[in-house]
Amino acid sequence: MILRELYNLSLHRGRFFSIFTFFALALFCASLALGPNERLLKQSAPALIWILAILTTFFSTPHLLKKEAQHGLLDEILLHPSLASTYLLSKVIAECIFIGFPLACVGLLLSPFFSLSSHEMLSLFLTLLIGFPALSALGILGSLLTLNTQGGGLLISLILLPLTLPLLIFGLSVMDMVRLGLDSFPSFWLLSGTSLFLIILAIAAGSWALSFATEH
Amino acid sequence: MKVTWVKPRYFFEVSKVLFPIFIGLGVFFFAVGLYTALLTSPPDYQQGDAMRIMYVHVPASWMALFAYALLAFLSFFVLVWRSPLAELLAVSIAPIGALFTVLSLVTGSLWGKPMWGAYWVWDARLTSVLVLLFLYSGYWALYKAYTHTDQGIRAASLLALVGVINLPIIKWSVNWWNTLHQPASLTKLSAPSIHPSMLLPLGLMTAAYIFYFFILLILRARTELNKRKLLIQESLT
Amino acid sequence: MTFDTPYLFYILCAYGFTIFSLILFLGWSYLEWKRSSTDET
Repeated sequence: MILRELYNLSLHRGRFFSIFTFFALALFCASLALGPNERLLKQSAPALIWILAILTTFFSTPHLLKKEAQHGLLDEILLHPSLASTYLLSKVIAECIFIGFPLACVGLLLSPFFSLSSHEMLSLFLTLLIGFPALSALGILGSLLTLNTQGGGLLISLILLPLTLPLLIFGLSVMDMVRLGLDSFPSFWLLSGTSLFLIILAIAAGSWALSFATEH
Repeated sequence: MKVTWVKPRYFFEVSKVLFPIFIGLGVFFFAVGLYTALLTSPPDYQQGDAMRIMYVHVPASWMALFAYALLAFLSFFVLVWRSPLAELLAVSIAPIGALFTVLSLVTGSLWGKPMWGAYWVWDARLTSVLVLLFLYSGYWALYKAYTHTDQGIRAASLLALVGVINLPIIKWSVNWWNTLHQPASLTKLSAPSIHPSMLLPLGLMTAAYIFYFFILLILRARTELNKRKLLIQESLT
Repeated sequence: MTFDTPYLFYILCAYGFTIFSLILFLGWSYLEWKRSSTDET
């Protein structure tokens, strides 16, 4: 199942290019807008990278799902009730490998823009990796909810951004702790716990949403 | 039958009787509540007359939370039993809840300016009420994005349920973030035990808000019903 | 209540805004209801 999802995603290689370019370009613009003040850049870097990662995820997921819905795959999935959550979970994993990991890598590559230390870079990379599955699961839930509308990424961000707030807070607090040289483990575990909870919640809700997303 | 009370017709018959009573009680409680809140109740010994803003602010916050809880409860009925009455009520509640959230935010910042010296501080409570407003607007946006209302209401109901499960975590994380970012000196609000003379206007205003809420709920649910009847008529002709 | 309180402006704003928006919303809902029920006939 995961392999199938991986194969499916690899068919849309053209889209990936635009996803990562969007992410990199937006980061570039943000750092330009902030100006060459090193301390300011250093402080705002994790926040910018996190917010842009969230937006990139929410803007990129609906297209991938819409294609599958048009091909009637979702209806097929529904014929096997036990498949729904497995299908969504494998989708999340595939997205993590194909989008989340590279996204974190792009963030890592661009961190010299913000003059981050290697320790900060590493923790940023890790927080992004931990947070991404939850973002991807929420993104899939959002695209299932908006499947039959014209809204797309804007609507998804509108309905889901409040729900990502805990991730954002805990992820950035890890970065804060690292920057100040304090013990970052408590916030790290909080981040992992929240991420896990959001994945479960989003997949449970998503398999419910699947049942009425396919009605026309 | 046990299930008759969830039938729309029954609800609308009962509401027809209750509606004028609610209007009368609502007007009464607003008049008495405003009179006691503004004129007869004593000023607070710490906050002076600014305390009077609390009489419109606190009930609004309560109603905002109550409306969201009710919305989530009804959403559950929509998703599990596809109750048409729950659909009508849920759609009617969302704007009313958003109205109370806005009222709570505005009166809160009008109270905060003289008390804290700023219209807005990043206090945990303020931030979570703002998040509540965003959840309401997300619900409404999702519902309106669908051309078929019965699909839209179910998608929005699912969102409301996810939101209500998430709300404690959001609230907790905001609380945590708040203690992380600022020392407790600014927002530590010493809550003096409420004097009975202040409890009276607070209770009266809360009652007034509750009746206002139900008046609007009945009114908007009827509107919603009429619109649906109209849609059915159009599809028949 | 004494009217020379320094908070008068804020109190009036808060109560004014509350009552204004409550009435506005009620009026809007009423108009919507009226429109929906006249359309029906």
